[in-house]
Amino acid sequence: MIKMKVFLSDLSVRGFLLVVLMLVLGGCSVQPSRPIIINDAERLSNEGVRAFQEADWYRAQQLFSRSLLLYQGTDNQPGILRSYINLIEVALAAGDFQTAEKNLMIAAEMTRSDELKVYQNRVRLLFSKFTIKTRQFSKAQQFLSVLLPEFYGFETKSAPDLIQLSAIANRTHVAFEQNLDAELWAKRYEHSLKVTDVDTRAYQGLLLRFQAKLLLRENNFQQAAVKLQQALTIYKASLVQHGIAASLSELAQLYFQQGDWLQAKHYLRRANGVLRYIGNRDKIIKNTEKLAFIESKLGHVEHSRRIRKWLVERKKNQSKQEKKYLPLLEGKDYLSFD
Amino acid sequence: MKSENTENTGHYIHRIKYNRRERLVGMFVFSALVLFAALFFVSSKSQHLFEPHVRYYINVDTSEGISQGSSVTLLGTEIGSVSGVELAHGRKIRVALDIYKGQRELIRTDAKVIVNRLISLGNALIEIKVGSYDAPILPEDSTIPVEETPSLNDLVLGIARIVQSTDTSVFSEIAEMMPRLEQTIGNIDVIITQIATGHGTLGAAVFDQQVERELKQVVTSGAEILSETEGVIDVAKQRLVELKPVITNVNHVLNDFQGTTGDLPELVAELRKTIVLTNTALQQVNEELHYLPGIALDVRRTLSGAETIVEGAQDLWPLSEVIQKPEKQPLIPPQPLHD
Repeated sequence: MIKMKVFLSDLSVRGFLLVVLMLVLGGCSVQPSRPIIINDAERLSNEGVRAFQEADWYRAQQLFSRSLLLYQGTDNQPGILRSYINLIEVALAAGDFQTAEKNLMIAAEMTRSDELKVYQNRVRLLFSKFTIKTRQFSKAQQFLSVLLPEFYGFETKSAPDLIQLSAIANRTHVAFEQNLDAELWAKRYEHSLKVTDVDTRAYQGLLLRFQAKLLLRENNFQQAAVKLQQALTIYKASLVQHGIAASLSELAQLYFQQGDWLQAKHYLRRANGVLRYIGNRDKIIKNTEKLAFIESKLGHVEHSRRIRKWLVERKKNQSKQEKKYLPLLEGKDYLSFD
Repeated sequence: MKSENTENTGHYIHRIKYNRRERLVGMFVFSALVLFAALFFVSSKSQHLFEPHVRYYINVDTSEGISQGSSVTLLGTEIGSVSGVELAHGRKIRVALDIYKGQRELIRTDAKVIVNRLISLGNALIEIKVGSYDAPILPEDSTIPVEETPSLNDLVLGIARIVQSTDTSVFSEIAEMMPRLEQTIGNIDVIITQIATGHGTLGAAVFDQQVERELKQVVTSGAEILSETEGVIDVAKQRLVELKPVITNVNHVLNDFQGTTGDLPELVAELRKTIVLTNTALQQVNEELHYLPGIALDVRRTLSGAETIVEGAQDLWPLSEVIQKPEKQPLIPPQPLHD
């Protein structure tokens, strides 16, 4: 029995050594089926998408730029266009509208070719985002009109896809900004979310914010606050940082309107924390202006004066063309007045 | 043209030949595999993978918590595992125990098996109680007598039934004693339901400080109403005593009221405890929800890490030969404006 055991264990060792030898020899003979440069470009793009999801605009921009260089090096047109689309998303998120516009023009030109026509709607959606962010609402409507599904009252003929759903959401944004048919578009958006097949968790947060805005118009502060809290919870669960910051800012605005200075201050500070992380300096400045006002209302004159001084300095720096992309959690201290 | 000096600088890897580099990589791969093999041997020994075993059987009433692979212990040490579970005659479950041959001599003819289901929910601990060492060793394929404890589930269900019946009786007494108290409890119930449903979302409703404040206000005011009622009833009692010669029958009613009001302070205290407990629960849920973004970020990072590992493994032979990698289109998914 013992001899048998020794024999078996000896056999196992020999078997393993044989497998190891096969692996080593086989590994040396492998030839890559695709050019390594394409694999590298894809890997960089994938890492870029992850960095974007973590709101690390600096890293995402670096990775997509390197990926673009690799695709350009092999004249891979779909890869080049995808890199541009990714770079536009990053530029819009970071508030770099100059770069976004430049890349949008290139992307739009590229989608004229038959090979890349499938990306036309995606580029139109990006144009709509760009025009909304730069407050060109009539232009935004033009881009969106091509993307929107046909509506029968609130209902659509077929379930909207992700691009159509985003277009409906953006159109609702425009309706609120222009104060025209906001309720109609909010209901259309709500219905679209019900019938769509795509994952709509983050989109639900936006719907709740639209509903809160409608309630605020009726001065129903209590119900609006509930909707905004629900939106905040959904955004937190889906980790949509722009949405978290927007919900907190809107909660602050709600309490600001009611003259509840302490609550407004509390939410403004929380909103600024998120905005600092995503590097949205314009929104931070707007929120901080409100904070200065609240501090003076609360009788903290010295603190209010200090905030106003900080605001003046920031506005001066802003005109000196500050860097748009900052490494995550580095160099963002200057966005805080504390 | 590069100078000699330039060529001698930089990392040593750039100065060695490609063939040597391949050998170096091969050596690393080889050493990793040797390490893996060594670990396999060590773990196979510690997990008794190739150890011969002896089979025994036990007959239990239910297989709850017992599954193939469940360990069998003796004096707190693992000496085998469950190798099979099957239905037997007489509405019993026959469980086959594989005991390591080296431990066999510990199991004597008077040994007993205890199936303990109170250790953890859904898992049973199969423990063999050592018998007398004077008794002969139990022969292979024998059936060992068994003792079973009720499961945690059974116990919890029993306790729940008791609690439920107690609660019902308490609430029925309250309902009989004071209709206003019933109304107050109804109000609390409505608010708790509001918190639980939150018009569709539990988390946000819990976040809502306003609802929390309302709950406190309603319950506190309920308690105040009860205290006030107590005072009013005391006064009424005095008046009734004064009117005793005139309305003698009212005396009986007064006695009833006395009995009722005696329980009021206890009820108020109970209500206050409920407020404190509800508050604590709300705070706990609130704290948990604050961790949500962190958890989501961690999960996302872990998943992306796992994805990188899987992608890397797919690039290695022999998987790279078998798995046809689809052409990827790494693109940020379309999304609306959230800010």
